[in-house]
Amino acid sequence: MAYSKRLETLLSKAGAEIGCRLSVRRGGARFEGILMGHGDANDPDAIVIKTAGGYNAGIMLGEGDSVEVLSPPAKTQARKKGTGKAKNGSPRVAVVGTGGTIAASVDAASGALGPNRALEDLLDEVPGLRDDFEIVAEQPFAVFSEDMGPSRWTALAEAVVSAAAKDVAGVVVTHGTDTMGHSAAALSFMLRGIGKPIVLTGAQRSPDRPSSDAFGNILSAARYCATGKPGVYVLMRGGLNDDEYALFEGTRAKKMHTSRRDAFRAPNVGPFATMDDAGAIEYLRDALPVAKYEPRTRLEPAVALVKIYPGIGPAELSALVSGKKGIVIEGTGMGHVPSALIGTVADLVSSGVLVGIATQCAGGSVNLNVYGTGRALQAAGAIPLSDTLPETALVKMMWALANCEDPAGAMRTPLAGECSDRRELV
Amino acid sequence: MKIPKGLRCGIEIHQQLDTRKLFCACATGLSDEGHGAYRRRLKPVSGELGAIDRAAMIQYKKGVGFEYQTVPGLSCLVDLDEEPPVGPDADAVRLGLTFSAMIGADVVDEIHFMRKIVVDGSNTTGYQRSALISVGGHVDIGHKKIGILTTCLEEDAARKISEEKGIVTYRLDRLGIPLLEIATAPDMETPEEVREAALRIGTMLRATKGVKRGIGTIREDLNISIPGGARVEIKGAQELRLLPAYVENEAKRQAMLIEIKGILGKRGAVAPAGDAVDVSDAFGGCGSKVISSALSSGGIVCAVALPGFAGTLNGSGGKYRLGAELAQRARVKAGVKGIFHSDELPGYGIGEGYVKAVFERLGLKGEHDAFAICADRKRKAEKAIAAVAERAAEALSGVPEETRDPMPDGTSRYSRPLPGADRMSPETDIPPIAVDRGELAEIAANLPEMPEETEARLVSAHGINAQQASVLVATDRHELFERLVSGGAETAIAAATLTNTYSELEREGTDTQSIDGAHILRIFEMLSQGAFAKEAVPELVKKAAEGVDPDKAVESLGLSAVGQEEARDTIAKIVSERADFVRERGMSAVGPLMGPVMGALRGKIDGGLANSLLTEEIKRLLAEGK
Repeated sequence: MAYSKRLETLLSKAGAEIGCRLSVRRGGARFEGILMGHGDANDPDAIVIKTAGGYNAGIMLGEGDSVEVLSPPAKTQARKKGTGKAKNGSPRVAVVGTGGTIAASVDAASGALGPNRALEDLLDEVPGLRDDFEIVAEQPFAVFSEDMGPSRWTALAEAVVSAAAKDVAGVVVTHGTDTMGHSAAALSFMLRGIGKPIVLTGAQRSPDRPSSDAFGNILSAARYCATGKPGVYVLMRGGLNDDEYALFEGTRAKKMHTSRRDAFRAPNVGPFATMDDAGAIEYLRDALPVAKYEPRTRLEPAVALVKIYPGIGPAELSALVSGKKGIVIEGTGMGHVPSALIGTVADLVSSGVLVGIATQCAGGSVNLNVYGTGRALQAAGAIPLSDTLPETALVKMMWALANCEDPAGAMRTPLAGECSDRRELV
Repeated sequence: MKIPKGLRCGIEIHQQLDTRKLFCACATGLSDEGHGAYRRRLKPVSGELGAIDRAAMIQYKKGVGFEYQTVPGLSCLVDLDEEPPVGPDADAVRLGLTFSAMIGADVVDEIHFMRKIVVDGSNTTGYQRSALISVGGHVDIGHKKIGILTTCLEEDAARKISEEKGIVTYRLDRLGIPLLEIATAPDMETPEEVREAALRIGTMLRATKGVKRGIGTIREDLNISIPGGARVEIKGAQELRLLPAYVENEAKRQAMLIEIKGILGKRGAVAPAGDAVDVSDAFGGCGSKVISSALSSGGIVCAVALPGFAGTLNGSGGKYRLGAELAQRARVKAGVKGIFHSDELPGYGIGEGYVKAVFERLGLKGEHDAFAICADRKRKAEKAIAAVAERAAEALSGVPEETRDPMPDGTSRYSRPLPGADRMSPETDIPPIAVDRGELAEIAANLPEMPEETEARLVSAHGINAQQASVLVATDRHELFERLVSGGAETAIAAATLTNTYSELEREGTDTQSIDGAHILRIFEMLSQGAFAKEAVPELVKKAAEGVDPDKAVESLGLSAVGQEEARDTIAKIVSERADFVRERGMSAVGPLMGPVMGALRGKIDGGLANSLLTEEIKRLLAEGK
């Protein structure tokens, strides 16, 4: 929200600019402080000043109130860059920045967080990073991860391909956590067989806070790149302690909590590895066999992910999937839809739309053999997707439709560790 | 030493509010037990000038340095910094506005929560959330106005439970309890004024009826300076009665340091060369336990020359005590047990010969030359000696600005240098809160009754005397008093109980704070029903202080009121047993016999009634004899 016309006039007449010291009279009250920026969260009739103690406060100025400039803005010193120098022979690690909380600080307009911290600045702030690693940084774009999508997944994949092609041990991708699982899945299919660690990491607390998980996550991701097994992984905190990290295969990682640092889990399989504060890795299972590396970064965006809910009818489903080449249905329980939708599914399949069935349960596998509805769905041509996460299934279908001669066959086949025929007690 | 002229003192009061937590729905209270230990570390974030706290950065690189214990019901994900803040609590904000109105402060129009960086682990976030509510206003003490600079609403810090092997353990119950922080102008000029101002502000805070009571719920920081001295902050004093002592002792300490500065100046003393000299070889066979145990475990004795400092470290019959300052600095900065300095040597098992040897090794010959030594592991001892040199150099310019910890004996101890201007940045998780002018006007129109107003009203409405009214208000028992009176209690008995009886109990060492008001209400209810006589009230209050339910106490004390006939029988028996005495004394036997009568009937019948029954019985006995 901008200043009101009256306030704008008052401030410009007084010659007030951001950073100047002001004396403000509001009725009988007097306030003194430095004029701060004005954002959407502030009243159009209020100015924000920073008082002597460092406190900000909004002061509403009405008719008859006045401001007087006491001194012009102080010159600010440029912030010194913390450029540590890596020891000779330190591992080279690429970092691809995409925005997210891990790159967030206050956004002047909204007063809330924005993904506005330059990647190099962020990396400068990670204690020890530049001492122990030679860093090659690149930032193709900077968004919050709710703004990711097929075209940015492709752009990200291309950035990772080119970073990995340099002489680096691995690539760290800094990313917003909301859809980090989707991006990790996309990279897992696109870069199958990449012989280096690709580690996506994010933060649940922005790096403008001393308690941020950004620093530890970036340093740990770089450490994994230097010594870990190849493949696409998500690395975040493994618990509520600052010395526990966990890695998940890119097709298995799911954000399960809105705010905890250890938000990521891998339903059905658990973490792939854990890492301690010193960078020691403990693998909890084998890495995927390394396939031939042929990056394929194209995606078919015309795929929908539809969550089934009680009461959804053929009209609603048809509206949601109109014009799509593929749909992933998040069915109830073992993968069910209301019986009324079986016909719609059959029509979609016969019109050439690829239909996959995942489950909306937080754990377990799809099984369309147990109940009549499941068998009817199979008869209608829907493909059961086993225990593939719905997000992963969406991305996989986009990839399969763009890159595979037999997309339906690809959907039935595990390609990047996204599903399994057995689930252990985890 | 007299209190130096020109003393200036300001206070910052931190008062816990009796609401839910400021940024979550947790209840507020403290628990004797904590659960779990969540390991964390805090990275110092760069300030506006790019300065980073080096010690904090070293700690960060070392690994987790903090552990947090949770308490079910009193801590949640917000306290663990695993969830963004929710709030602020509306009741807490309103209390801030109410207090601002009470002191006539100018309230801001948008409340902006800020982050005040604190990386000692006492906040899981690494910062304290704090917001300015108002500026200005004043409180009156006697005829003097004490200016208020700011009133802020902030969150309390976590409680430090222990510190071991580089890990500091905190409990999260206290973290997030709302605090009102009231900072006064440096308007107090005597130690007594400081106490009065703190008392006044505390009383006004309690008048809001929204603050917590008891030890630890209100804490004071004192800012003290004298002319030629420096601003020194004594942080976290909890006992009101000790405030004048802190001020007086600090003023005297500053005066002493100014005198020492003069002495050092006259002698042309210069800052000691910071290099620690290893003088271990001068202490072979030394009988001092500290020295011999350090040397035998591979440590060293480290020394620094303090030319020109003799007599200021501990001199003029204890008047000059710079040595204690050097030792405190060494303890805090290097973690050593202590140091020795030449003003206190020979002594502590260190003989004259060793002292001479150190003077020699350091090349000190002047009559005013002094030294300090520290015996410990090499690195620790060197660090300690560097701290000593640093503090000695500061003595040349008088009083260093610093933060000090209050001690229970009214003195204070060095804790750390005074922090620079607060490094504050906006708390992005909480949008600015618009202050509703209508709500402000409503608050201003319904301000809580001030203590003196309450006193006057108690006197005029209930006819108690001013002394009682003042005690009732000062002890926060006026509300209970008014509830008793409106419940039908006799004003005089209620007032006497809550003043005299309570203070008697306190003199006997009873904690009257723990008396349940509901028990007192019940006692007076039973009294008005004639369940026992008013003489029984003190005994029942005492029982209530022990936590005994009044109904049970009446039973166990055998206080159930007796009928008049039963009382008459008891009295008749007492009189007839002493018939000879009564006949001898006549009616003047009433007085002496009241003792045994009340002994048998105390609390069961009214004293006046007992007296008239006794008089009747004596008359009857005397009449019989005629």
